[in-house]
Amino acid sequence: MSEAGHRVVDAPSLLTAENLVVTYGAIEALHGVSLTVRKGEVVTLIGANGAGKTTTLKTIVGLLRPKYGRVIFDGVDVTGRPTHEIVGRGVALAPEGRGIFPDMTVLENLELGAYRQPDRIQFRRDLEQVCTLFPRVKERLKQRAGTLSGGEQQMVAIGRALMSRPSLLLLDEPSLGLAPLVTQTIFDALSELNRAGLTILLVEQNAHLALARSHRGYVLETGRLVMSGDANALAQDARVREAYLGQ
Amino acid sequence: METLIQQLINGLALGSIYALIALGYTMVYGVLRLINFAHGDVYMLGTFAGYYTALRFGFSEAAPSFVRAALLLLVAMVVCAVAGLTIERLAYRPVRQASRLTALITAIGVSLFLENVGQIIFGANPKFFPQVLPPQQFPVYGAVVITTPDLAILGASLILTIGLHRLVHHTAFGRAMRAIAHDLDTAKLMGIDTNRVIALTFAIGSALAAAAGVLVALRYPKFDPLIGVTTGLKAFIAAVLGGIGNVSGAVLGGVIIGLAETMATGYLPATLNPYKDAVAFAILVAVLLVRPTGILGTTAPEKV
Ligand SMILES: Nc1ncnc2c1ncn2[C@@H]1O[C@H](COP(=O)(O)OP(=O)(O)OP(=O)(O)O)[C@@H](O)[C@H]1O
Ligand SMILES: [Mg+2]
Repeated sequence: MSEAGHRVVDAPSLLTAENLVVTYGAIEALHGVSLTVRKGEVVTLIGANGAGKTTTLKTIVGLLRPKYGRVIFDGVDVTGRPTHEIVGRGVALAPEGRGIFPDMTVLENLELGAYRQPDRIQFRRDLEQVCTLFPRVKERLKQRAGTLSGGEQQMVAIGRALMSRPSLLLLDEPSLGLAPLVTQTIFDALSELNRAGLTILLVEQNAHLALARSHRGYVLETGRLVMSGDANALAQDARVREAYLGQ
Repeated sequence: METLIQQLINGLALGSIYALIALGYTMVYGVLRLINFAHGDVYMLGTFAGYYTALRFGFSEAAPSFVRAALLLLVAMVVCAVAGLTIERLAYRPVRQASRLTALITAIGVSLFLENVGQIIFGANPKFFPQVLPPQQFPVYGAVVITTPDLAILGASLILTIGLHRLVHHTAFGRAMRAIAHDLDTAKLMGIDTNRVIALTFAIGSALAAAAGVLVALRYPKFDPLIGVTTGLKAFIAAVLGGIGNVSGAVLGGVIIGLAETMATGYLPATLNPYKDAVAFAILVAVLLVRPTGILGTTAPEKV
């Protein structure tokens, strides 16, 4: 996929984060993070534990309010807007730890993803698409989501995010705790979604796999972006290889 | 045997009242992790709303009828739904980000406010609810009868409880409520306007309390601005007993407390009668010793 990188180089920006400063009480978690995701891109944000990756995604989707800085989505300044409005504009987040509703059925989880979708026919169509993308999910629709395996839950989390028909999909460590084979399945699905036109911003500790599937990447270190660029170039970079690829 | 059946009917009726109120405690706790201490006072407002509506439209002079009773019920429910929305908006929403202790103190403040303003506006002396139901009795079994108020209480509570159950388990709104109860941030990610759902949860809970307030007055017509204190407390106990946050648990808890209280009044020696209000507490303590989460409560650890 990264070989298609130049295809989207000139595409207009879908998401721009400008100089985000985010604090938890007295702790400043982001010290001015700026990044851009263009239409049609897959962008990866890599960084060690506690670097501020989750904080960045939460700020983009309005769960956290930046102290300084702006979030521009699709040409609109959405800084400080409530999350449900940002989701309504076309941003979806499959959160860290999957955030499944364990006591509800898989179908109920997917229905919640489509909470703002009043059109039942469209809902059926989207459900059908999620089921085609993840046949495992289709088999488990009537099951309590809490009884699913980690990989299946991640598929539900992604499927649920897709049910809101987003133009930008944010993913917070989708491979966390999953077997390599399941991780492959999930990344294959993400590539397929991207080929169909979905823009993706991915947070990963599994930098190797994520960069291989991305157009561009950013490296976050304790609340600051320290590197950015073409995904291939980042994967080759000596510092990145040492710090994040274990080589 | 006949006495027992009669007691069961009375207990079920009383239990339905507790159940309707307990539902409001449990729903609000579910979405906000807040014990809404003012909930019993909303129940009191329901009785007053029904009372003044009845006076205003001359129901006390008119011939008793089920339709008029149902009308009173609806008006009181609407009035209290609005009261619930107002309380949430003015008192609870501003302290949502604050500590839970702050929210708890706010709830106690709202409760005291309603009780005192109630005494100032309505007067502290007891009032008597007009007889709006036809005073009939229907034979059930042998000498056992069911009176129209009991019938109204059982029928209305059943309809409301089933309606609420359907709302919670079979509608998008209900899913949103359950999503919020599980995790507020994840619910927001679903595109749910959580403020709106929380406000409506208050409205629904308050409307159910109002229904209880009118229904109870059909059977026990004497009331005053402090009726919400004891009844509210017992309904709260019912909610905890059933497992707070659990809708079915609230109904179960309400029925258990109602039955136990009636049985205690009927079968305990007369000298112990003054202690009938303690029965609910005794049951609560006994059950919590065995099941700290309440009968149907989940063992999920409390969120901070
Ligand atoms: N709720 C919070 N309260 C206080 N500090 C927090 C909170 N959440 C995160 N932090 C701190 O903010 C910093 C960034 O955290 P964040 O969760 O964004 O990191 P991350 O890159 O997602 O890490 P991980 O790889 O472990 O998920 C960390 O130092 C963390 O301890
Ligand atoms: Mg994280």
